[in-house]
Amino acid sequence: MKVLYLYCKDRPLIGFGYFFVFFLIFLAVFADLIAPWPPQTANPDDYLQAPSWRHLFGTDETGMDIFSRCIYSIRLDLSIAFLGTAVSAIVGTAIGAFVGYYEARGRLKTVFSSFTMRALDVIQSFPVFVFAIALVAIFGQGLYSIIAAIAFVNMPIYVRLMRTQALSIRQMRYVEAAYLSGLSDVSLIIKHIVPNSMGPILSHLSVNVGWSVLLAAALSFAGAGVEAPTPEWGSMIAVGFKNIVTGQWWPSTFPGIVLGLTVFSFALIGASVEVLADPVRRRAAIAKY
Amino acid sequence: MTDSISLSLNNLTVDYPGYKGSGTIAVKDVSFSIEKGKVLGLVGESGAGKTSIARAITRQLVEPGEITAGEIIFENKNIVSMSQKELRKYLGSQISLIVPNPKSELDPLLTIGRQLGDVVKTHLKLNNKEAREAVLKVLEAVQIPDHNSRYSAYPHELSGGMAQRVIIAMSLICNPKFVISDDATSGLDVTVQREIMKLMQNIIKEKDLSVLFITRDIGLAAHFCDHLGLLFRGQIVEIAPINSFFKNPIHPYSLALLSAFSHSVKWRKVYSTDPQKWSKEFFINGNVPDSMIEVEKGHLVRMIR
Amino acid sequence: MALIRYIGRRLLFVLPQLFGIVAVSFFLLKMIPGDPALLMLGPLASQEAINEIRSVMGLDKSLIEQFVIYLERVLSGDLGTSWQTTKPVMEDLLKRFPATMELVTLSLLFALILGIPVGILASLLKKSIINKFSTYYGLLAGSLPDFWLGLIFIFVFYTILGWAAAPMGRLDLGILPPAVVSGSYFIDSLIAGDWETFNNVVAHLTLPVLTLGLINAGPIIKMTQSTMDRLLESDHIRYARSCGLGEFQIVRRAFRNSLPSVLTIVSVLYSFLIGGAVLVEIVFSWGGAGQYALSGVLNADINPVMGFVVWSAVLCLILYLIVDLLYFAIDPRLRD
Repeated sequence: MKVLYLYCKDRPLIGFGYFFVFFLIFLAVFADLIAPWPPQTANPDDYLQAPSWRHLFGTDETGMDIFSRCIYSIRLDLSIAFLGTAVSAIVGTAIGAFVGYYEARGRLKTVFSSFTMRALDVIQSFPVFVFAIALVAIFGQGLYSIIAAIAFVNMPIYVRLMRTQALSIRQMRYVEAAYLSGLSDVSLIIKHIVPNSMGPILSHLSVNVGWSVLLAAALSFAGAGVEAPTPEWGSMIAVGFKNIVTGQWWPSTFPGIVLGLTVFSFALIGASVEVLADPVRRRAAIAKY
Repeated sequence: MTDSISLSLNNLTVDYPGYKGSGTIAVKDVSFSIEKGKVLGLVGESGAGKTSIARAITRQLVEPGEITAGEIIFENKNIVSMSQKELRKYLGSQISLIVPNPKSELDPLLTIGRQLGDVVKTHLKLNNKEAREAVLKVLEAVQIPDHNSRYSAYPHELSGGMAQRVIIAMSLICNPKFVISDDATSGLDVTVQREIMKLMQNIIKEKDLSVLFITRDIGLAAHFCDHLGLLFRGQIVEIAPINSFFKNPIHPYSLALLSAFSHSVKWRKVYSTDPQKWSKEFFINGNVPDSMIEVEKGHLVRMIR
Repeated sequence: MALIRYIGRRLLFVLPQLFGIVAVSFFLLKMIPGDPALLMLGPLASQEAINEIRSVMGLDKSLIEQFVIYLERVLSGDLGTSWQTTKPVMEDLLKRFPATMELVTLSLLFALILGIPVGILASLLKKSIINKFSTYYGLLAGSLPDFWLGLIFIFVFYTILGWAAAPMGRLDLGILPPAVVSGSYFIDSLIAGDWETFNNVVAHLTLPVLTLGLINAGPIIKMTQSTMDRLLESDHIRYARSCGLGEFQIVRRAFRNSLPSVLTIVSVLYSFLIGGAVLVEIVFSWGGAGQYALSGVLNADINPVMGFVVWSAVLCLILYLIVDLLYFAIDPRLRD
């Protein structure tokens, strides 16, 4: 904690990243108390109102309050992103550990490893976005499909990260010792390989959460994610899309700013984790103190 | 007096500031001068500060290293206080550097001819045709066989010894007055090492170069140098004309090094360290003292009397 | 000779992958709920009519059979018909891919023109503002949704300032597209020497190119800066410095050595953008291939999606081949 404080002291922007994420979580938890208007109730008398004290971010074409909707969106978008990232990290790490550990170890194991890697090559050479949309279309539109799609397109990165780690860690003496003492493959991977290779995975997590928020919003914007009346940044931008040409900028602009700031904050946190997870760079970064 | 001196270091100190508090002083209070046409050997174990001295003279210290005190005088000009622009005129043309691990020191994407040509074109303002001639000439001078085709070879196509010749060619191409050889033959086979040393010896004699010859191999230095300085933890502990050094080594570190390099039992005995000599004269609480004493003409030893 | 072997190895590796892509996407898209026959004929169609259409479309055969039939057709250049446009997919895509490629190529060119100098300067001037700027620019550019940035640009430059052309496709309504040579209006109007059309094309390209370019300059800056940082500290650059070469020469050598990394990131961005530009295409009603595929997915129109996947895979393949040739030209070590 102290290290983090020292690191942020010189880099106010990084500090802002941490602050903003905590602030978002606070807003999401207390959305019912903070949001001045119900997020999904249309109010035809108040349609397309410019920002004012009554409607801080204005209203959209059905008269829903954009400020309140932005706040409620946090719940949905962050849950999707956290869950999607968590699923892909857990599944990807597990697969990657086995792939790395099994590589070039007996015929069947090698076949398993190389088949998985080739399959990943194929998945990764798809046009990512169309692939994600297709996945949502297959599973049917809904929250779990979006999470599944996000988890699926993110997974290859974790498999690759973990594989590289497993390949180097399996050569360590303590792994060999554990193997010779008769530990089974599965418990060896759980007890030794995974815990010792968390560094790069952890520093990727934060960036990945931000990226997943962006992907979720993009899916909704394209019409393959969360549907209209539910408050979600991407679909709000899509709703405000047709108003912008005629000059009503607020329905799209505000959700976009909140979305951008959210992703940016996660990226900032990711950048700091990358430095702080590396002992050498950590020492250099807080050298003065 | 200065006219006969090619390059001299006066109280040079190089510091690598650490992240916390004081850093590592790699070179401390080093002074020596090299007369024109003479070779000074600088010997020391790794970490003694040899390469830092070479890099300090060319002002190419690795970050965060810096020269914190002292001066480097070349032809009556202080290199330490030169501007980058002025310095650039000297580097490569008047002062040149021969480096170890030649294959990583050459740009992998450009041909040998191009890299040598760039140097002459920069310093001597030659046009393409003249540069090409100069390059071919110098490649021939460093005895690269088949130099016409090697002109368009890439660094990865050369053997280690051949690449080392290219580096030597690079250092000679502008007819410098002063050459620094930083461990130039390390990493080469012994037979190749011998060829390269022979080549360097001939060229030095022929061109009457002044040389700072940095090496880990005191045997090599013995054959090659007019003077010899011994570096220990960033400081010179003993510096002397070559004969004086080998006939009458005084500092215990010199003795230890010489005995380690002596193959015959007899010589090992001659040079072997008498524990009595590891006395207060040479070490104060494990550190060397600040003063140097002249025991013979030009033979200085770091000790107190 | 070495070149042919090099490319041959690459092809050997890529062709199975291409097959994998087609196979996976075929089976995935077959899983999309919704009966194309039903969608085609509407909810009031009789069962006989549906059955007939199903057998015409081969939907009554097993999946594997369908896939084999599909592969045969793809190899002969037939990508099927889209029931939305009622035209052959090949014809549709031939019209739409040039639009996407034009947008993506120009955007990346812009991103390169912006990103490389900034990256180099940021690396050379360690303590300057430009260094700080580029560090945060990379993070920020990766965080902004491109479709949103496009909307903001439309609002500022079209709605308020009136500088940009209407975000409705690639040309104003009254202007006829130039004679088709490459399919890119930008190139074709230049070839035709039709300046009025050319100006209009450029006016329509400006905002989407700006949007995609500014966003994608982020990773280019980051990559240029980090490789230049590494190279400026490398042995051979330090040696070149101690040979007294001028700063311009030094930067040129370092940049030449960082070209492969920059090229890699550009090829990654390129292959991503072929499908990933779809949202910006929607915002500017670009009528590109991504948009076409998207409406295919959303309306259970399988042929356009498959056609798009096959096309973009082939385009990526060509792209990677070109990139390989460039690596080959840059780095002599690959030539043995």
